[in-house]
Amino acid sequence: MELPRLQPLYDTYSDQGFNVVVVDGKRQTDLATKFIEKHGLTYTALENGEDDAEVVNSIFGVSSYPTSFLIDREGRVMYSHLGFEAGDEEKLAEEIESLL
Amino acid sequence: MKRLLLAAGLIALLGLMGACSKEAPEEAVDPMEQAWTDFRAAVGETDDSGEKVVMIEEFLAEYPEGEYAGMLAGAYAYYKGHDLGETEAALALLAETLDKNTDPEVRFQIASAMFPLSAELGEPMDLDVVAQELAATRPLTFPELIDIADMAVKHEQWEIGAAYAEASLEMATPEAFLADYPDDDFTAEDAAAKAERRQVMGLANLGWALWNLEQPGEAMAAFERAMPLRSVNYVGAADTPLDYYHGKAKLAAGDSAAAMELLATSAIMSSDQDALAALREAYVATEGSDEDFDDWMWSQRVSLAKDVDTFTLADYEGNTHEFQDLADGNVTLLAFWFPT
Repeated sequence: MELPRLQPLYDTYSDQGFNVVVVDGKRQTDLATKFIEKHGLTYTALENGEDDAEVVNSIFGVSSYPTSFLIDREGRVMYSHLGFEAGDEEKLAEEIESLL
Repeated sequence: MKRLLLAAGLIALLGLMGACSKEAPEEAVDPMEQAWTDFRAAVGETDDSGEKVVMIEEFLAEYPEGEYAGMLAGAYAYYKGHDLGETEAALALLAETLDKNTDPEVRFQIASAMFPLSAELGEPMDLDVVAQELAATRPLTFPELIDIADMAVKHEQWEIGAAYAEASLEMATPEAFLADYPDDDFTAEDAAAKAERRQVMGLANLGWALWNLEQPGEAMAAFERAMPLRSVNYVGAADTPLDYYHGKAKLAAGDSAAAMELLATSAIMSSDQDALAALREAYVATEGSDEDFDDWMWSQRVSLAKDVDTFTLADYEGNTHEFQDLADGNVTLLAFWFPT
């Protein structure tokens, strides 16, 4: 996952009411914390739960990574995005702006 | 080949002698294994695609005939072709590596990595040859068969697509699924669901290949067989290409209303640009122009959107967070990832 590509989006739109929450689906705590620190990611990073507390697959049915959902101010899921490649930032920015 | 066999025999003999002798010095490390260990350590130290490319090129130049050439081929295609945009050069080096490697398993991996590059250059290669070399040594697995079908159909190789999709359906059973994952603990229910998904993937590709082979009756029959087994993702879009190919076939058959229904969720609720282009085409066929397409898309999106489920998870400091509180009136991007 090109997670660092989300940071500029967060920096650009956070003061207009945009938030980013990322969840490590595979609970690779050491790798994840090192990655987040190395790339200076400042948005909220959570870790998937174990067994009954697992949410990534049981609630969201996600088994391919990265998968993202964009949620509007009313809490409705308005868009899903599979994969994250160079150039996807523009598409996401467009979608974010349409909801702000 | 004879020389390789002799070398392998000598290595095996030396290994045996080492195992038998208590005074034997430390076991000699295979130079390729040592180079692989060094390569992995070095490549993990950089995020720079150009540097990674140089390291992979050095490794492939030294050990094109080894087993790691297959694993590296995909990474090389990604960094050199995708990240650096040097598609032609990436394809040339992988083709050279393919020629030098004689292991059918590795050759299949290299060819699979080459395919998207060749397709990008407008001349998708024929995967059938390399796949048949591998099939002569062992039966191809479902993922291998469906990957070939999928790549072939995407790039209009209809005969290959139909043949491999058809073959994949033979592996679309709970028994075949469980046999592919002997070490995992799947329930009978899981295996049945996975088998259904396999059927949908096979039938979707088969349907679209047959449609383009001008067998419309058989094509629609394949789509109809898949429809009751169709599964959807969190936003309600099919998690296989079924809706897209079925919708395209309906559009080509002149039933634009059915096409719109099939294409709408994937096109409107996801980043699937192909589905979006097909939906626009179906909309124009129905409405006469795309003048109001964007407004219509927005109204559809609002009606398809569902309320997000909330959940509680911990951050890396051990603090728990309720998602609803984090979102709290914001536009929120919720992204699932894992570090590599």
